[in-house]
Amino acid sequence: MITRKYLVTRTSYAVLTSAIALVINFLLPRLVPGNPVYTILLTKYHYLPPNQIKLLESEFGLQNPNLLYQFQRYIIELFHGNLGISYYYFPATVTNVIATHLPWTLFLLGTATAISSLVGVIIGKYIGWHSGTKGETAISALFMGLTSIPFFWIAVIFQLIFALYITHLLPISGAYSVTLVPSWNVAFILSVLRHSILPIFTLVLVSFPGFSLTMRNTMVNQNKEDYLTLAKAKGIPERLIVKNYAARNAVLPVATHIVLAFGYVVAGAFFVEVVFSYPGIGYALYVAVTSLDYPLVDGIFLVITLTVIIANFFADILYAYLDPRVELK
Amino acid sequence: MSFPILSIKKLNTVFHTPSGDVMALRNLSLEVNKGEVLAIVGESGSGKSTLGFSILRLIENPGEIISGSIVFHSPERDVHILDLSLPQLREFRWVNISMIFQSAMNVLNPIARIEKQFIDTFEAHNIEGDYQERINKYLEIAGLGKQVKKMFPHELSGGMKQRVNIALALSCEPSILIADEPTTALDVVVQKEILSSIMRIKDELNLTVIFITHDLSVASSIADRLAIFYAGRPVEVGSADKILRSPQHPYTTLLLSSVISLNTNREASLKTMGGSPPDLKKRIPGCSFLERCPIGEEACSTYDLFPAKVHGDVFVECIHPGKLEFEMEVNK
Amino acid sequence: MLPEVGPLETKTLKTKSTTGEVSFLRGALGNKKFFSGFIILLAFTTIGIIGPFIAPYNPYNTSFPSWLPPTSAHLMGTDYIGHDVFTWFVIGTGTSLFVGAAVSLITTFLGTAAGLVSGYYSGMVDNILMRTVDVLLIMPTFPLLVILAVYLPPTNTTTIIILGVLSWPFMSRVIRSQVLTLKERPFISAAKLSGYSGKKILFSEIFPHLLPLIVINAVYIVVGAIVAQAGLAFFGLGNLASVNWGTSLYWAQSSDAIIYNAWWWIIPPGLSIAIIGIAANLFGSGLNEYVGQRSGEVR
Repeated sequence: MITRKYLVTRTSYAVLTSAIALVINFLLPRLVPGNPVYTILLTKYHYLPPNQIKLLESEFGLQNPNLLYQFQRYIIELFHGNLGISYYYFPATVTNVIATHLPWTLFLLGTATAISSLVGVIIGKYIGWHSGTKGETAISALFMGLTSIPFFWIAVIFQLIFALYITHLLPISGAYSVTLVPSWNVAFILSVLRHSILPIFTLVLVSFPGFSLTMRNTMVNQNKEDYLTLAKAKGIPERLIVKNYAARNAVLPVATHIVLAFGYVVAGAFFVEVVFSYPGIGYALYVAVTSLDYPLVDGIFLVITLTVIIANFFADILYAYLDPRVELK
Repeated sequence: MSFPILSIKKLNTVFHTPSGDVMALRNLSLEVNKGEVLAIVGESGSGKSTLGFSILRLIENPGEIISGSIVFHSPERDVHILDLSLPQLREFRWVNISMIFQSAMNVLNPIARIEKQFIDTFEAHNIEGDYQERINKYLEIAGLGKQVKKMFPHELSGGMKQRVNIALALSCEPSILIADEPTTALDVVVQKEILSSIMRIKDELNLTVIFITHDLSVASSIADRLAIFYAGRPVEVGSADKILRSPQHPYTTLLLSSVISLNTNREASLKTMGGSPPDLKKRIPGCSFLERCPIGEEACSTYDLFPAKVHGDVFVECIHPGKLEFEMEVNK
Repeated sequence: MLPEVGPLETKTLKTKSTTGEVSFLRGALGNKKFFSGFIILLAFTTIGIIGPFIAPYNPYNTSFPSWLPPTSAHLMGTDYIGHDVFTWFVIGTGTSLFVGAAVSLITTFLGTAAGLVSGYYSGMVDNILMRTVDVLLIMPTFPLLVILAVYLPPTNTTTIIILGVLSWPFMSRVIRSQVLTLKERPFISAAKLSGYSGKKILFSEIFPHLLPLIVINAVYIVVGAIVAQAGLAFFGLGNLASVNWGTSLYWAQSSDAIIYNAWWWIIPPGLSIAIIGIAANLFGSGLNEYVGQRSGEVR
């Protein structure tokens, strides 16, 4: 049930968080000791080319030392989609670089999140209903272990295995075969799918156990709910009790968990991209960080942060729509 | 003339806890007659709710029914509830015996519309006919309008929820309705309304009602017969009129005097009610009320499992039935 | 109404008086999960502390051949420029644990303080703190970590401060909800009725009951911080000259250790992080079980 109050609260949270992100993005480069332009140019070229100074200064709006004026410029540029020029991918603009890399990340993230939430919820429902059995205890322990392993290490181990021991079965780097030109033909699409198997599998493997454990816990708590007792007393078949009473009620908190974990999975996708040299936004961020491409780092930070905030916002709205009780809380 | 519709014999229900088994029901035997309102009265921990749950076999781990029999006498045949297989039990529940639970607030599935909660019950029992018409009928009997069907539980008040529960409990036309403290969670005005609805419906549908309560005054206002529970056993069972007029068990006497405080010496009665019920983890030799009983004596502790003494149609578990009431009368 | 007579009160008092930290720890070690978690964590801490003393070589000594597989002279082989991997591992354990512990100290302090204050003094303070927490929790952590690490000086201290300051919101929420439940418990009302001051109730009545929860969360944060630090290092952020599990993995990744089949370089740090994560989970859920059991017995 979506009430106006709920909508206002959620919107204000999203706006406030976005504003904080904007301010951080604006202030951080300017708080670094010394003129950011000099810092940037020195790290990039180790000397100060005068024409570059002018260019960058105008870009930062630095001719006017008034921070408010600079902030105004920054916001205006932002609304024109202008995030500056990347050093590493020169002469491409940051916006351009992000636009070419983002789809790959969205593809990985979308597929992996869909698979891991589906698998996680189904397994969690099952082990939750059979909690206390030996099998359940073993599976829960295994899952707890899986959630403790860092994303990037799993990715590295997979790469090690598939590079050295099961060679040529699956590609271990890139998003498609280098011999192909991107286009909508079967060979290319198959190549993309084959290249995505290991990154997606890694992401799923490390994220689904967490969803399963949350689902398990909420399922176990369902057993204490009075409406389950009534359902039993009414003579509802167990299969339907699990499905319509326990699982339906249990899955809603899990949805919140999946949304909250979204930021975590995004970070995971970044690492997986770096390990598998997958040309997504995470890989671009890695390149930007290691080559001190400050405009690109700033741009990616902003875009990713805003994307996650907006995704969170829509998930909250969807959640309220799905759960008739939300407005009460 | 009364015929038993439910016979409970030597029922033992325990709860396994880390520090030992709690005997919630101890060798309990009880009969429920067709068409009557039997009120089960006792303080918390006396086993009254456990009995309700045991009848429908809703006792779950760590609880367990360890022995005894519960027989439901339907016109066609006798059903031994404890011997039913799980699929048989599922089919048996609700169409023969249904229940209204104490926690009116939480027994409805929070994410399903009210009508859905009726329909899945009908489907579970292969009931035929027009579901909508049937839902309307029972909502009306329970004093609710049709519009409730389309609502979610959180849109209803506590009293309305309990009415929905009543409608649900009646909707498969059971012979016995167990009402487990159906009004405890509600405020006083609503309590009265719910009680009178249950009584009206009982007559309309020729139901047998097992009414579980801790409140003797509520019980006395609606019951044909009373079963006074103490420490997992009924200590006095019989016609409500007789028990209320002349209680035989000292516990009943004290209970009654604490409720009807105007015509007895309240102070005396409350003082004698000190102490606490016995620890049900231990075997209780003799009378379970001995520790708190003002007239208890040596002989009470040597009794093992009282043969219930008959006093008219009232059964009492005491070797001195009526003695305490007599003394109180004399002292007045 | 019947008089409700229960034996609850007396029992509570009886069992509570026997508590003490030593007997508590001894009891908790009876729990298998807690015991195994505790032992593993203790083992790593020991390695971390004695690491510099048992390290066979100088970590910056590059005089050995590159890409040597494990031998008796190099238990974990050598890396791309001939560092002894075992030396890096034992010294790195100490650094990683130190970073984790330092972060946990900051986070636990901030989180507990915020949680206590906002849970106990409801109203304005609570409102402001919890709205801040809400907003901070929406913010995705990793990009924020990256951008801060990019602009701030690359030292371990920076990493510690960034991680410590960013991870308190979740903990404060956990603590707050526990304080809210504790506030409803009879012994707090009793303390209030007997005229204790708010501060005294907070520290001598509520705080001790929060300790297990705080310890569990502190341990989780140690592990979380180790993973986060390793993640940052893996991304080429933070102090890359520092010897720790994260930098080991960074250098392995950036020097294509996979192509050289240098599993001896890749497996130890990652596996250690995984094992420590599992140990923290065992430690936490074991302690939870034990505390649950104890309060169950008291009841």
